Amino acid sequence: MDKDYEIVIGVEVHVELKTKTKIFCACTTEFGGEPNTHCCPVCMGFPGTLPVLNEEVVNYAIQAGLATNCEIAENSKQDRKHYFYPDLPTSYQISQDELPICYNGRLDIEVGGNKKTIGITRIHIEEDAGKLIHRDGLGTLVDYNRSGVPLIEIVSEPDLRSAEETRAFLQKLRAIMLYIGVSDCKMNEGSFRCDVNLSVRKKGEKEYGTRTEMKNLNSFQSVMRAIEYEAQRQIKEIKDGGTIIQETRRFDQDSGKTFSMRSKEDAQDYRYLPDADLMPIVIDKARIEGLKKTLPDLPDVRKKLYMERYGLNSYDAEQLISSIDIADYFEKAVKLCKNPKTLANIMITEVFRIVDTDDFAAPFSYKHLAELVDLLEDGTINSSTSKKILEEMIKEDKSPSVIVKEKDLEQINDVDTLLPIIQEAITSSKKAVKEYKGGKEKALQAIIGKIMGKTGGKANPETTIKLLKENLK
Amino acid sequence: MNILDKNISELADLMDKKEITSEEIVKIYIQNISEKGLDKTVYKSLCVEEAIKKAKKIDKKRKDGAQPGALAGIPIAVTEDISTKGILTEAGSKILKDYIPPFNATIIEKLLAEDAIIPGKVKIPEFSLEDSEYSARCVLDKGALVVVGSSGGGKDVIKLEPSYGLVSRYGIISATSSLSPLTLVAKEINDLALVLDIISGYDRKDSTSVDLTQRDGSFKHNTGKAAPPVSPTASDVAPVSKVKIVRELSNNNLVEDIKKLGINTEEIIIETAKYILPAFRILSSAEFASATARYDGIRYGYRSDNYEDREELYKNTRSEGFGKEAKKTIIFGNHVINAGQYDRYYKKSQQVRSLIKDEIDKILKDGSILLLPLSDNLDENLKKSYKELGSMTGYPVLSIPYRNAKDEYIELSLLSSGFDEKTLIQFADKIEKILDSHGGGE
Ligand SMILES: [Zn+2]
Repeated sequence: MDKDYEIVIGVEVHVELKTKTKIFCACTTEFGGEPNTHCCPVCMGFPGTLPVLNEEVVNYAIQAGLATNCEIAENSKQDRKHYFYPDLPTSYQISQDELPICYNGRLDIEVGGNKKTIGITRIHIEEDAGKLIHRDGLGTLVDYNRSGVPLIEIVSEPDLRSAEETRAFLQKLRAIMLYIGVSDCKMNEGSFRCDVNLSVRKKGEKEYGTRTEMKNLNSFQSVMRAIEYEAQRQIKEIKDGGTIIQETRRFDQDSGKTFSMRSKEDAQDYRYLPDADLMPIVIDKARIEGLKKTLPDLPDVRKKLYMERYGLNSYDAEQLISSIDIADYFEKAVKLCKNPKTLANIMITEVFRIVDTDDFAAPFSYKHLAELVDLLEDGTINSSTSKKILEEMIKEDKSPSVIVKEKDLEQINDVDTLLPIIQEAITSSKKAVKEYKGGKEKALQAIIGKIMGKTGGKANPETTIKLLKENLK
Repeated sequence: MNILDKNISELADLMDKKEITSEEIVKIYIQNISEKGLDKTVYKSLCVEEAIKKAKKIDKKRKDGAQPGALAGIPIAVTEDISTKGILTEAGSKILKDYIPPFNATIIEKLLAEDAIIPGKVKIPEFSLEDSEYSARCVLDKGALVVVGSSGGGKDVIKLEPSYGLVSRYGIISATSSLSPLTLVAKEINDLALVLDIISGYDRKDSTSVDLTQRDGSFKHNTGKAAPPVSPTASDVAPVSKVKIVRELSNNNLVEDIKKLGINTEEIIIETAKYILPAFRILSSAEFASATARYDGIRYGYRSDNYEDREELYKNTRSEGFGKEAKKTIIFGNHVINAGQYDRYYKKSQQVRSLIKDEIDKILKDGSILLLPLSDNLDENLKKSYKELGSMTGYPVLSIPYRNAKDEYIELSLLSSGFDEKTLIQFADKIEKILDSHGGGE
């Protein structure tokens, strides 16, 4: 990255809401289903049909706004955004132009120990479109099952300055949406979609550079890669004496590059028009207050709690609040065990290795995990056997104490038991002993390895090292 | 006894007394339709079999002692842009060629629920973009007792444009979002009021429809039985305190005629009148362009055979499918909402619209009603302007036909505040009888 340049990033995030029914009709929003089985004349845009707003969508948008510190508009309205595409049955998308439901919000992020506040320009509601399916021999078909599924679009201020900040912001945003339960935020199913606006400028400059918009970013990884590629591309273009064209660019997963889709010159005029088929959206204070009460503790509140009450560091706390399911799991387990730090450590290093943190499903009960933490804590097992026990727990969700008994995994703390094994290891490791005595501390590892091998990893590591060193004097 | 001359109440009476059946009434109407060639001149399509079947069902219902609906056995037609499940609904266009809706418009559901017989669907010009007389012709030639739809031209009939929000727009294809969607056309006010009673009311499928639970009773002003002989006097013309007549439309004879009846009149000027038509054209064109954007040849209706790719499919389908007037309106409508023109045209027109509404509100505040005498001799544009006043305010307009002593045809359009149809109907009924009894042209 060129040190003379600064990247300026703003994001637009589409979050699919998990209301039971679509935004303007009573059709189900369930994902999948045979093509065109979740639709009706309204969401297929038949002549003379009219939209009726699902108030639950407004509630979800208000909750999203409250959770991101937005102001909630007392009066807002819905507008038609016109463009022709076969997946858009009315040839206009009902969205919000001038008066979104939420505006002027913000989110705090933390990157590399630095805290930063990112502005949220607005959150508005809109409808999703259907889907084109290309079939050899049949041509292009349209499935309207997704048509009319409610979305919120969250637009950030251009406050982000790096790929890491962008990822932190998006992760925080996604976590919040999951916490408040308005969406399942599955990036691979398209229920959490990010577009990134990026421009570069010489450091110290006041004016923003010309920005490009990147689409087709379906993982945080893609977002990062696209930002890095696009920033380099823009800087190089400018340095080579070229100019940046305001355009939409598609990110290609395979090459890691972005490609021009359309430039602003052939950008569509969406001909926004207030949708007079729908009444203005009026939101009173009582409704907002009522919804406020339904919100759970948000990530930042929990993070603070984990640091203050459980003594976790900022990084660990951040990992545990990344989803409400993980946080809830942690909170249930932490109440049953003696050492929160050990619990956090096992969750982050061991549990996160085997589960999908984006779609957390507990591999075993929190009670058993808490029990494992206590077994470690009171010296019944050591950390290497704890890994074996975890493997057993994944196979079968059993109490770790039972596993310890069944598999004979209890830690050997007894000096009389350990000593002969240690002495035997010393005699059979001539080379290592020589090296150690020659000042090579690391050579000790080979001998420890032998002891652990002999004891099936059950030897108390601290006792072993202490005894080993004594016997090598 | 000529059945074709009977109004709804009279027919209901005859059926109650078992002097005639629904089936007989329907057959008489169908025979008349075919004899006068209305199936070709007025109707786009007929539903003869369906109508007779339904009439038989109603007769059986009556025979079995069940209470038939309020419009049982009465032929009520609709225009061809009202969605009817399983029945061709092309809205006078080519772009909706062969379109058969999979659902009924709410007004159809309501008419059918009250056992009305729908003999067929009355023609309209493409999406009713131009005035047409088909509904009026249908009623005058006895093709149906009342026509509900988007065709509002023609003479010698009574017409009502209900308040915006009083009647559900769900399933009315020509309806644009914010303008009055319907005109009811009938020969007698009471018939019109009876049908309005049935089709009005809140509809959860239309967010703009209004819940008028407090509305006191029916729009019809008597029990629905044959009206008693009237010896009209001015005191009958309550509860209207005053009739305000627009000066530039005013007609000396008419004002004198009304004054003679002892009705309080006042000539007024509508300052914003000259803006009605331009603002209406901008708003209605924009809404039309938006509403018809969905006609792209993908899901239903006409699709061009001549295309290689998606872009061409759209272009050729729409170029071939829309008529000249529709294309003009779409182009104009899109122009006034494009990013560079929106504020200057569309937004300005919305502002103008609220100014017009404010002025009309001021005029009607004292409980008066507005009379717009639309004479045949008036300038065409002037007439058109005032014709859209109802649509622009969302207020009801009831028009009654009148010929003065010089046999000049004047459509007396009466406009009241929103949802005050009852006053209009009462007033119009009285004034019609008074004007008749005082001579007029006849
Ligand atoms: Zn639907």
